[in-house]
Amino acid sequence: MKYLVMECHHSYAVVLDEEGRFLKVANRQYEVGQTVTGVIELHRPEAAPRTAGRRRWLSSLAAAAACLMLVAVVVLQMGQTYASVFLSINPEVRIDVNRRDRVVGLEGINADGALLIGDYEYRSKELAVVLDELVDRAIDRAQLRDGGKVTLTLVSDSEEWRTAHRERLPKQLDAHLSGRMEVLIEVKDPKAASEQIMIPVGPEAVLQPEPVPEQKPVAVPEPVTVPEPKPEPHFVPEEEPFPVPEPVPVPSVGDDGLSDDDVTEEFPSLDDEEDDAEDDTDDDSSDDAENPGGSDYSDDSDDSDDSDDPDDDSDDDED
Amino acid sequence: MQNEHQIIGLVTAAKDDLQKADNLIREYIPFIRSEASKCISRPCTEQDDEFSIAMIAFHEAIAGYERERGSFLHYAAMLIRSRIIDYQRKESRHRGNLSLEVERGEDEQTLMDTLADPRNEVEESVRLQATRQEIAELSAVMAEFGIGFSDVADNSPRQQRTLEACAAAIRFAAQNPQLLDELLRTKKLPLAQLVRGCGAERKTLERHRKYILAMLLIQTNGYEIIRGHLWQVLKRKGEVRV
Repeated sequence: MKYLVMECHHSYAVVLDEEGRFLKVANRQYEVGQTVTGVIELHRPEAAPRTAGRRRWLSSLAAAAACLMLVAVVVLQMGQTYASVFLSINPEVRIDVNRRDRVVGLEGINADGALLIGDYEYRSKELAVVLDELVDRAIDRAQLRDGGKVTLTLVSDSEEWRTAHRERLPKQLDAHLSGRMEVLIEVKDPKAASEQIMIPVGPEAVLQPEPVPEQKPVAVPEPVTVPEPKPEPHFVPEEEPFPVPEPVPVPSVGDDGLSDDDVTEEFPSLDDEEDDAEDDTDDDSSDDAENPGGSDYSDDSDDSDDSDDPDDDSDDDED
Repeated sequence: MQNEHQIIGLVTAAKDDLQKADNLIREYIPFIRSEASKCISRPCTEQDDEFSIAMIAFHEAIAGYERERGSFLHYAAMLIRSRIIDYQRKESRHRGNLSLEVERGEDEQTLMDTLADPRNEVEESVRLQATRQEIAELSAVMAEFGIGFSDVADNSPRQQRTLEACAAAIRFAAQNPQLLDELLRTKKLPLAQLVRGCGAERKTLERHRKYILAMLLIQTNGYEIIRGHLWQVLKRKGEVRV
């Protein structure tokens, strides 16, 4: 076979064989126009081994499957209920939301709630939007009036979600109703202490909402120190320097004709002592004011004065 | 690693751009010569066949390289070795034959020199010049159609059946000069008429559009030498050349 050299390149030459094939061959110092024999044809290398291609195909398939699973998981999570909000006006409605606060379910808890949601389209709407729109529907149906009450009950296992929504939802609802009516928005968190927020909203600027009475701390009275009862002197007769009258020779009853009453006249009875003690107590209180912690020596002196009475009596008796 | 990435970038660019491929090959001639020298166990010169084979093996490496094959230079070295070993095995079959080119005796005359040469050197030189001129003209016309010989070589049919289908279309055009005139005038291949005339499948002709275009241009006036080289193409099976 003869080949006509048509083109020469650095690494190869293009030749035309007698059958009309154009071939790339090794350029063995050929010249254009030369007719040659015995060329070394360029071989086109085979494609990369099939196994590598199959492996690539498999890896692509595995990657696609992994992506698909990831998407499926995300979609499932998106459709899964993460938290619920119970909206209670008179109608009661349960709003289920996913992690991104998108509403995934809406259910009327009571008959009015079922009527309220009716043909309402909630899908792919945010929780705040659904809340606002449901409240609007309730207003349109005259189920919520000025001065009414809206209760939001938050149910979720996530404390973070509850904490965030406990503050956010009433504010959003307040902003939505602002300038239209005044309602009481109550947020209940069964898993935490319930919280009540008074949202003053007034259409008329004159209608200043009553200020929420601040809960002033009640002044706790200081503990009253009750004065301990002063030990009365007659209960501790040992400590009282009770004046003992000098022993008077008592004549026998039969001898001088004195009765037992006369004898008791000379020695004061216990009743008299109690009366004296009461008088002393009054005196002590005044004394304590003047001289707190003062000793009872002055009283003792009084008592000593009292103790003089028997002497006086004895004088009378002598008279 | 950075160098390897750079080479891969150059190779990827050279796959589709002939000029870039030539530049890359020129840049790596020392590498090519070194690999060829390793195979033949002696310094390789540009006059050696092994050098030409190594060059075309490097070109094959550029055309066939994929990232899955690993380092480009390792792949190219492997191809160069394989091609040179193939060539040496083929040459070993003729080891017992006497070469006409080997110098013999003290006067350094080859066997070829001692044989009578029936060719006229002057006539040969004139013919070569004429052939070159024809090829240059054809190349210029092909350039007007936006094709080159390398494109045609890449688009040339390889299977015999495809080659025959294309040859039938070329013969039909050669027998209907108005188709060639239309081609030169409109610069569009009259594919529908060729399909109707030769009965070949349109898809087959469509796939080898560049090849058929080049062959039809050769059938137009002014390329007598090339047409003479292709006389077998224009001959029907069992038909004697006119």
